[in-house]
Amino acid sequence: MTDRAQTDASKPLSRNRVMAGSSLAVAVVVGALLIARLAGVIPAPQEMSALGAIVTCVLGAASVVGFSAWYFARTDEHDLHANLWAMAWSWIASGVGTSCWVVLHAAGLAPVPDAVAILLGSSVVALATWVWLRFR
Amino acid sequence: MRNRLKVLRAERDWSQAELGERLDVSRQAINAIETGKYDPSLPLAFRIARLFNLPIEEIFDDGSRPD
Repeated sequence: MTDRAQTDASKPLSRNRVMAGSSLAVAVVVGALLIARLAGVIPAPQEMSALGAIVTCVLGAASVVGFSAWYFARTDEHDLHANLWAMAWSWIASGVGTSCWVVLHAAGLAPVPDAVAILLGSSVVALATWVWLRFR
Repeated sequence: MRNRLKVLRAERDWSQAELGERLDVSRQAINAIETGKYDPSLPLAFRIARLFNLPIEEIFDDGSRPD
C-alpha cells in the first residue's frame, strides 16, 4: 500500500461525507422497509396485532426523532438553514392544504380529507424546498 | 452581501471542495456563499477570516461601507 493510500485510509471522513452517507443509509433502510411491505414480509397496519402496532410506532418515532436530533446537531449551517426553511414551508403547506381541503369538503367540492395525502404533499414541499436551497 | 471568497480561494488555487473541507462545510455551502445566495453565520465568517488571515470586513461587504 502506498503512503498516499495509507493516508487516505486513515484520514477521518469529512462531516459532509458522514452526513451524506448517513442520509443515504437512512434512505436505503426506508426503501428496504417499503419493499418488504410491498413484498408482504411486513404486514399492513390493519393486519398488525395491537402489540405490533405499538412497537412499530414507538420504534418509528424514536428512530425519526433520534436521527433528526443527531443529524441537525452535526450538519453544517448551510444544510441546517435549508432544512429549517424546508420544515417551515412544509408546515405552512400542511396547514393551508388541510384548511382548504376541510372547507372544500364541507362545501361538497372535495372528498373526506386524507391525512396521509396531506402528509405526503407537505413532504414533497419540504423536499423541493430543501433541494432548491441546498443545490441552487 | 458581497464577498471576495472566490478571489481569495482562486489566489490559493483551492477548489470549492478543498475550501469546504478546510472550513468543515459542504462544497454547496461554499458555492452559495460565493454567489451571494447564503450569508454565513458570524462563527463561520470568523473561521473564514482566520483561514485567510484577513479581517472580516476585508472579505465581506454589506454595501454600507463609506468609500
